[in-house]
Amino acid sequence: MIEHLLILGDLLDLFTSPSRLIAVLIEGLAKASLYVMIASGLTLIFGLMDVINFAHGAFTMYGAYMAGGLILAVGAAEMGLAMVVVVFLLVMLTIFLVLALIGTVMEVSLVRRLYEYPPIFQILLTFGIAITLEEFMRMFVEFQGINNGQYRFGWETPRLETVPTALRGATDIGLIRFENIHVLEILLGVVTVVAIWTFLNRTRYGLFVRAGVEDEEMAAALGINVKQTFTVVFAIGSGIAGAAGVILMWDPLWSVSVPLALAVLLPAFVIVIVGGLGSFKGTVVASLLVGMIDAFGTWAFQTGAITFTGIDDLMIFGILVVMLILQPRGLFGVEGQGDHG
Amino acid sequence: MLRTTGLTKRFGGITATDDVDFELDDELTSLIGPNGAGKTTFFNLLTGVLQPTEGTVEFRRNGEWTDITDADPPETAQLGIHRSFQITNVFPTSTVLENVRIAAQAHSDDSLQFWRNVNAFEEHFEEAHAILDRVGLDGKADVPAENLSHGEKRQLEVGIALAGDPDVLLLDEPNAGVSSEDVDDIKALIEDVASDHAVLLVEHNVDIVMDVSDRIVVLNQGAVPRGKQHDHHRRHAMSFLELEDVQTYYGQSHVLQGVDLEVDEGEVVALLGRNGVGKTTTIRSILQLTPPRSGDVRFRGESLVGKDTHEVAGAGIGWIPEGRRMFARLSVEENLRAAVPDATAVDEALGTAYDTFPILQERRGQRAGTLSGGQQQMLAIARGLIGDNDLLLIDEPSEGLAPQIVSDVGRALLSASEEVSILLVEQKLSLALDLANRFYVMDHGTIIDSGETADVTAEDERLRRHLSA
Repeated sequence: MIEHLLILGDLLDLFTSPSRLIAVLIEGLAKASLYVMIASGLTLIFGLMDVINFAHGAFTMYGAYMAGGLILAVGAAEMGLAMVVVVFLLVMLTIFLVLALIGTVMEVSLVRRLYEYPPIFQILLTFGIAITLEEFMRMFVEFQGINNGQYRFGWETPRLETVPTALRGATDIGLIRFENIHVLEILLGVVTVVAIWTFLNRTRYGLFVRAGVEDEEMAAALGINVKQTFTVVFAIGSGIAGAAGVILMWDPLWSVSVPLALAVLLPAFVIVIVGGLGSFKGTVVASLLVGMIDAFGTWAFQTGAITFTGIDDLMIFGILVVMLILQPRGLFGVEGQGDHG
Repeated sequence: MLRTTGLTKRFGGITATDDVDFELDDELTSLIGPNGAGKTTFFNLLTGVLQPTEGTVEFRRNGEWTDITDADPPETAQLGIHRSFQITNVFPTSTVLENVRIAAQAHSDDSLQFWRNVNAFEEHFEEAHAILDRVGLDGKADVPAENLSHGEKRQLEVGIALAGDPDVLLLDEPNAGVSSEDVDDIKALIEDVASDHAVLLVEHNVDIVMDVSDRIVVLNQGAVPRGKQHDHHRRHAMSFLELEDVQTYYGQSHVLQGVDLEVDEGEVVALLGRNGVGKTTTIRSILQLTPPRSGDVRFRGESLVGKDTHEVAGAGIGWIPEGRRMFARLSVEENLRAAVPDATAVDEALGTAYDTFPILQERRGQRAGTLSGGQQQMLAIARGLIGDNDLLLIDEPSEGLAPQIVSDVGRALLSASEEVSILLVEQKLSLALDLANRFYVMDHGTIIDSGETADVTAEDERLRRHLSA
């Protein structure tokens, strides 16, 4: 009873203190930005192609490791803020392209063969690729001793080595306090959403993609090369997965590690399902929802009102369970989409 | 036998012939293309009437290629390249025999010895008679050429060209102005001539082209578009769309058990039959959505089997499917945009669609899924029309529509049929018979009857017993 009153008191405190509320909202927005970057690639691939890409998290993890290696290799640790941000963005672009290429190869050589088969075939394939990629990276990391601080780049934790000082701390503007890194995350999240939205809604190719999502046969009969749009979407989705890894590398809560692959995959699936299969809008809204709930959970933990460390996961999966009970097709899902019949 | 490399002819700023690489073997090749495509200019370049701005013309004799780019018409004729003319080109007051004999004499080596008695050239007379026999004019040898019918004049022109003992014969619209009864004679003559000559034919009558050609070359704005120079198999001539013994399965279920069907250019063909006899599967087999397991589907003589559906669409086949199949979440305008293959033609295509169906312009921002059934059908038809298609496969266009709307749809299809060929699946027999020129009746996955729609009515027992349950 006492504890309940304490939580109530803290909640009252939060909502009567605008500055604290804004700080939690900003953190929620930053988390949402990361979620939307993690989940967008998955939702594109899932939505258009009905392919559940279990290797998605592995792509993010590879993106994070490759970005860490690149950033250390060019000596970003010693650069000033402006320079390091430029390098960071260039690295992100590079990683996007590299992962898009890997995605293209994977789609053309492996995934494409299985469209005609039941989904379990694709699940086994992408799951197998995920495990292979993860274990390969684990071997590489162990042999190079990267996690023991002996690697020649000296990246025991790339985050600490390469995050510019200016991005490490927090800033106070009036009563509002926010983590500097969150500004970059929110910017990247917004850019990601705008870029994908523009691609889907304002380009001819995006129109073909949306037509293909709705009715593959009709789209093909209008002369649209649906197979090719599949490859392009798979490439873009993979590229975004990799790019997400680049920013995760710098985020204090994620950072670079082999288990990042799985850590990314679970919330990504939750967001895609909560938002509704095949709906990019749904993914954005679900990212905001999950990000905000995550931020409030973190805040509740910090205030000491809740002492259970699994609160984040509990709440995220709680949303999934509630959504599956109330509206199984998600917030903006369309009947039949992603449904394998 | 005759080839051109990079052949280009410009008149001032106009490029009449644009970088044409072309080779004529010992075969019948047809040159087709719209008026003004540069076919006659191309002929004139080959025969030396015109000199090209760029490029070369070469002629093969005794296995060796000779450059004849600079040769004038008498020289090319002497080499063995003869042409018939589009504009009637006979000596009107001379007899038919004279016309041919003069040509034969002109070709012979002693043609310049004109002081000799013209009647002394016995061999030229024999030759001329043989040629007249071949072109079917032997009975008219002594008739003045001006008294011949149009078709006979064409035959005479071919005879004159043959008199020069050519290796290569260039025939420029041998059917122009010929009455329909004479067309078959001319066609037979072309085929006969092609049996021992290399022939290059310019001809507007597509049926003749499809029937006689070994190869068809398309000329457009002076150029041969990439991929438009294809071998044509004469045994499959004639048909625009042709299904031959098509067998299609869904899994183990043998749905099409040998479908043979043809649609000619400009035709509307109705495919009739009860539900579940394989009409939609026939359309899906053409589109390669459900590829046939055996048999062949040919469009303009080219097999579609094994192609991707988007390639079939790219060849000029559009689909107006059962149930309309809107992209329901896309706007009306986006549905239309997705249907235009050429990005630069989108605005023009939208204009066409909105002119034809003003209601679509009114609703252009609306999601297609929220349109009424009739409006969706209009949008589906518009999608088919603006897709740069020559053949539309239309499946149950009146299904689920109110009677008033059905007549609107009927009118839309009727005006569509003026521009494209149509294969129509339609349950409403009266509508199908109104629109179609011919019909096929399907049962159990095969065609069991076919004929002209003019010969039947919607009440006919011939149709009824296969259609009503």
